[in-house]
Amino acid sequence: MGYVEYLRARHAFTVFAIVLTACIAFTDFSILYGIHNAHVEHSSANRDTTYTISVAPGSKAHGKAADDEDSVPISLADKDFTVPIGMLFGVAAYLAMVLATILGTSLNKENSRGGFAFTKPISRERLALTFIGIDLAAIVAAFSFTVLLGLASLEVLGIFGKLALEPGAAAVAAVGLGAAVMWYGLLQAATSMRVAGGGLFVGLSWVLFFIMLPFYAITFLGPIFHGLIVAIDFFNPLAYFALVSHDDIVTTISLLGFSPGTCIAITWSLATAACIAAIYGWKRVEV
Amino acid sequence: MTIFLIDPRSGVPLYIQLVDQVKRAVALGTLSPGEQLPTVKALALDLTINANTVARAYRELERDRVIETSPGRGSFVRTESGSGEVRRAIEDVGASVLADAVRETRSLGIGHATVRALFERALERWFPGTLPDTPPEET
Amino acid sequence: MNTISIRNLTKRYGEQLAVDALSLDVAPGSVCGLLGPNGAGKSTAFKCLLGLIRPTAGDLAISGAPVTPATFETLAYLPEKNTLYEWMTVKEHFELCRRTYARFDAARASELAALFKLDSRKKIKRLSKGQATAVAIALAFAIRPEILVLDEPSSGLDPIFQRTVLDLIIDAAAGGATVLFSSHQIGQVERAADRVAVLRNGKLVLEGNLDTLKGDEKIVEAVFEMDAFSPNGLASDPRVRRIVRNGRILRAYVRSGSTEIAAELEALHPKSVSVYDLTLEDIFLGAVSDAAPASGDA
Repeated sequence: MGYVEYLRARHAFTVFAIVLTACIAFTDFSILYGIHNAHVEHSSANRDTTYTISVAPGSKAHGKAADDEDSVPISLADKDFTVPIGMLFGVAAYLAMVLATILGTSLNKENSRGGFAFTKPISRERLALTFIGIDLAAIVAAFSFTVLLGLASLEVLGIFGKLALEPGAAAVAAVGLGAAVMWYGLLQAATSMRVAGGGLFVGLSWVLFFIMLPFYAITFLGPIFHGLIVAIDFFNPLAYFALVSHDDIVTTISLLGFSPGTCIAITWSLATAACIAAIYGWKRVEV
Repeated sequence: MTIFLIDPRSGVPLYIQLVDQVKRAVALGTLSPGEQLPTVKALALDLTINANTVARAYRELERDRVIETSPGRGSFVRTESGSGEVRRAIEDVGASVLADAVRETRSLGIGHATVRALFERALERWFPGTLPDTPPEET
Repeated sequence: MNTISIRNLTKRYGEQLAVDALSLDVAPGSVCGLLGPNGAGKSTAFKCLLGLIRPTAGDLAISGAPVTPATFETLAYLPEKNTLYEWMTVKEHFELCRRTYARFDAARASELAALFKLDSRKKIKRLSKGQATAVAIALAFAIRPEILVLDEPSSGLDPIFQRTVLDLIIDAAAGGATVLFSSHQIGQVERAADRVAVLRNGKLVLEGNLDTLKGDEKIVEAVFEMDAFSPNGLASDPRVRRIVRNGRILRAYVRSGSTEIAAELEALHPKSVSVYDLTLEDIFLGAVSDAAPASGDA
């Protein structure tokens, strides 16, 4: 019976991968096309000048004239900058969250099938664990795929050498993935006992979790309101995972002020607890 | 082509219909003495009826000594040595049909003598020339 | 030991009793046809039996034990509503069953797919309702089940495939399987079932061997010279379901003892007394008709 979720997750991942690859490929080749076709006429008076063109908002390519050439080759690699791998992990985690929310109603989807999954020679607990295992594997696969695609992208753009493996990057990955699986678990817990309408919860969760971020800043409505927001934000995956970049080092901060280590502990624990609650609810649902 | 015709929609229990059909076939000779009957399962599928119903009919037929069943070999129409039983069974069917006919006719309010006269007219129709003093047909 | 044992099953939804103290047994190798109007509680009873709904009260057992996942190795359930995965193909469904069931017979599955003329590459959402039902039936029988619980197995099927389903049920039962199925097609029940049960408003109103029921349930009609009357005590005779009088005609719907009751009516010297057979449809409609009084004027 796990075969169903395998097919479903595989399909979702495939679509995810294709769309992502298409977007990244389009972007990369646009940049390369722009660089390739950019040239600057110069005369001997302009030698030793460094030319800079903008290839995308915030990124520039540079080139210097060679002795006997009429045009200046431009590449991205000349300037001195680094690409922190933590940034890559961060983006991958956000994208993995998208897949996580798509898969987060996998138990719920079985509840409107007249008991197809429940009249098979496999217990609901075992089946739920299989489903969750497959979904988590897909989430991790989405994360890894995005990272790999990012690395390939750097290579294609010729700036793979700029990659910096800073020490805090692993924490970024762990918190990011933690937030993704926490979101997944919360969706499962919220929908596993419902017979229909799982998709509604997915949409609501995106709205709710995003809105709860700026709401944290509202203090003029008093301490009770703020306390309520804090309580909700404790269960908000986006509150644990925000990327900040400082001196080319990328780390995460959490809205409620937890250290990355604490964030890892909380998000993964909540994810586990939510999945257990989801399984318990699924065991008891009547279809 | 299935040799037996039964009507599941009828108010007559299916196994009784099948028993009557078998007896009829034996009487008419479409089932010969010693001939093997289909297995319960095969006949059930052929007639598209429940196998337990067929089994019940076979048990009745065996009880009425029309067929005999040997385990592992199947069910067979009884051979000549038992044909007296078959004939008796068929006569039972005939007697019951006639009794029903008389009852139905009586229920229409027709008297004894008229029933008899009608019966003899029917006899003449289906066994022509067997009755003496057959009254001429009235137009 | 009965293969399927339902004892005093009750399911209450608030004030409503969907199933009311239902007791029903199905013996091994027997085919039990469950009839009843829409909303009579047939589907609810099946779901309680299989653990999809928690009963309010009652004892349920399959082969003498409560239902567990292991029960489903040899039990095939066909729900009323089509529950296959619309986005998966027929072939993927067969693959799913192959991986889920130890007893899945791939050769049999192919046979059944061919029998129902299924294109295995098609997604379920591209199939008609009847074809989707055919897939579900093929999957059910492909595991060579020993027990079949089928809720309206012929819904959406054309008459040819309805006959195919009947053949599958009869063949399975002849091979020793136990079948419990519900149907609105009385003709199907008349052919495939050896036992019949009728549900109305959650209650069992009729149950028994089909042939015996047909043999016992009769109408005894008496036509009198003048206004019809019934003998004292006939109305309260437990063998009599109800009595209807219209002018000179008296009809007694009896559940057994038609010959004896005919004789009792004869004793009143009417003009005639006749006994009429009842089809299963008549018997069913009589059992579920509204508040039939024990006696009254038609």
